[in-house]
Amino acid sequence: MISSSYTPPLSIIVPCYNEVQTIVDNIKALLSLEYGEFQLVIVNDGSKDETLEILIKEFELEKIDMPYRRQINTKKVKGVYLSTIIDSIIVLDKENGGKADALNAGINIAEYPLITAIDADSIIERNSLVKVVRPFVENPHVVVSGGVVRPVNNAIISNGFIEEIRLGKKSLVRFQIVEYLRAFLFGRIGWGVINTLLIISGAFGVFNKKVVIEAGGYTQDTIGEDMELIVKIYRKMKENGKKYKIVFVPDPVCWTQVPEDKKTLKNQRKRWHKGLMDTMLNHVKMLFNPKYGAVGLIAMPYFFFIEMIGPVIEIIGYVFFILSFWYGIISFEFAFIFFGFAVVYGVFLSSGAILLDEYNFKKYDGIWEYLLLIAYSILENFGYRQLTTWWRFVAFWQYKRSGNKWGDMNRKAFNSNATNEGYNSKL
Amino acid sequence: MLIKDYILHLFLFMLAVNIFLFLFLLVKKIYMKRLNKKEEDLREKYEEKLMEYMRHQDKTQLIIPSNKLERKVFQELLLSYSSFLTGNTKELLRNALGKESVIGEIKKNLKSKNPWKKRIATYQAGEFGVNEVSTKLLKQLETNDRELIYITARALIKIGGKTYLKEILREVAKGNKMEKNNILILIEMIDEDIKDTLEVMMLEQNSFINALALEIYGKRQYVEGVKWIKKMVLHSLKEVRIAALKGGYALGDIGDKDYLNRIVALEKDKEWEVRAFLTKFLKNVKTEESINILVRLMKDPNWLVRHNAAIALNKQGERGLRALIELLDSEDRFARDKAREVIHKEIIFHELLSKLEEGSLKNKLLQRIDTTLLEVTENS
Repeated sequence: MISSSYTPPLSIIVPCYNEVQTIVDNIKALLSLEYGEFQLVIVNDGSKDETLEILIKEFELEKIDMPYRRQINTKKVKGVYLSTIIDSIIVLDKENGGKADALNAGINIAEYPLITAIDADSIIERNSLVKVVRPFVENPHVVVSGGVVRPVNNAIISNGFIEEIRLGKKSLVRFQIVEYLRAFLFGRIGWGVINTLLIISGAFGVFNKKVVIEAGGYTQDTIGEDMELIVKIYRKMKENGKKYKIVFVPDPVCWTQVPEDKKTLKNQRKRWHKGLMDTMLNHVKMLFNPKYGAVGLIAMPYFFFIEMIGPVIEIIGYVFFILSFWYGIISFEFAFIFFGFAVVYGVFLSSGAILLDEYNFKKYDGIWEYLLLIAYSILENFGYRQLTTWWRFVAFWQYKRSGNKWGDMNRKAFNSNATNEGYNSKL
Repeated sequence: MLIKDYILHLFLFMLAVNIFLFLFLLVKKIYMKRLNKKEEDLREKYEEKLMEYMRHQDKTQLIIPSNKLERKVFQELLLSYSSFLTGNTKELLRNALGKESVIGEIKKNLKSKNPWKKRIATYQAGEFGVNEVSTKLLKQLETNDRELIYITARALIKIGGKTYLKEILREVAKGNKMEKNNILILIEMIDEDIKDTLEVMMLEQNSFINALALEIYGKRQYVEGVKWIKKMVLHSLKEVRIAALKGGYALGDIGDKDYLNRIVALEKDKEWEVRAFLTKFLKNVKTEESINILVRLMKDPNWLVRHNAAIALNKQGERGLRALIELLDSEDRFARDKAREVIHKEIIFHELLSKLEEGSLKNKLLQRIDTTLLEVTENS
């Protein structure tokens, strides 16, 4: 039913920075996506490795003088390359300016009315694009549509596509799988229903190009450019009194590598939290402002008080809890029951997400995988949750307005043990 | 009751819910695993027999499903092969599945309040060609569910070809219920001649339907559309003028002077979108006049018109190339850069320099393109 419908032409922007290990496999995988008409705009953001050279060699690129409308300001574009063997590939080589700058450069040269930004280290399921674009065809007011992102570590990948999904060998990865399930299948579906979705993952979202340009493109001096753009779009649409819809489609999936060691995970979580704070403080005017409808009255307060200040309250809570217990204000029995309740409530949320996944998508199909997921949804309450809360707490106090850069992440080439550096910003 | 007791009760309640959820999902998983294995085996068996039947048209090869699970597997198989099955074969297989039960199930689900059941039943009605529900489907077109409208229109076309086309178009034209491109995709599914339907569509007092018909005339290469294109290039709505240009572009240069004159008069159109489509139309008209118009449109205030004009000039052969070379010295930077890009692409991707015969044009090109361009070319 889905594939028989019309799909508007789409420009896929692939920003890359030091992606020499994975870029060719990923571009080949993107070229075999099931989608009517699309172009790939690969933006080399001043990589220090041989990302551009490998692209030139593999796709037989030729540098060309090509004028285009620079509707969003970006760092200098050093060259535009077209492939002599594949018509739909265009490569931009530019000075390093961060992910947002790379995306903006891609938007400037993108030919089609819809754009999507896909990280070079992510894998999209073959029919995912058709599904995520469908809301644009069904409803002319849709301006942004996003899908689900899931961890891909240890999955079996062939020719850039997933052959077998596995849970990952490391505990840290398994904890994140439970986290991603909860975040995407619970939170975003709900926010989408009331048209207050503030985050469309940077790894997998489709945008109306015109609306993105009107909103000024991705903000360059922020860490969380994905959320910042969505909030800017909400603001712009509300201030201009235009009808809009930002939707979340839970079925299409984009798979991505998540950190496998504590240091990388810590950096990632701190970046995310600082990004969230950037956006919240940039748009504090929207908080409790009825002019912005449900976004100002529900979504912004939630993200401000629960997501942004939440870790601070949680850590203070832990300290008070321990002190109260220490000074005999609360009994051991009470402490035990209270903590137990917090755990079973957390497990309930995770089980709910696993249940939703089982009924609708069945990505983790084996019985052993199911048992592992349940086990990790219990175990995450004993250490993992506190650790991530602590990182966010530290990020809260360390926060200061700063410039952006591509986050460092030890990334493995798909199906190999090699590592390289790049960025990560998914959840 | 103390706070502690409240929390204890809540804890026990949540614990019980969690245990229930865990066991429920575990049992479901074990059951589904077995069921899937069974379905897989059945599908393999049925698929093999279906292939045998399709190859040799030997009815004895077919296995008649005997229980609910077998019917489900067989039905899914037929749906996935639906586009490869023709009328008689489809009817035979539908009978093997149990014609009455298929129709009964579709009718039941069409009445369902569950939108997914309704959509699936509508899709099945189309794939199995269930004519018995066409009245219900026509009524269903009135829904505001855009996805259901698309599936319903598709099913009606699958069932009756062009029979219900007018009704579908009239319904979707109300309140812009379907994307134009989606309608065009649906119409492409019709194999029959639809000239008579298009004539009726052009007589409708509805600009959306008129615009659709104009594009279809072009897509289907019906020269009968020429008279309408001539008339509609003067329409007050730019959407209709654009549709006329799209139809004309698909038909190409049919050698009718009056027709061409009316279309090229759109050079002065006040809407830039119309002028942008005119440049596209002129790609297919290889005359001195079209080159002159395209050169003039290279000075258009709108950048997209200039962009399209440069590309169209490139399709005009040597005369177009000559015009593009002249534009390398244009006062307008965009026109200059665009001409340069188009020539550059031709040199790199289509070996323009080696294709050109030695002579004045090649010399002119070599003189006018600057050293940077040559350096790139030589390196490539």
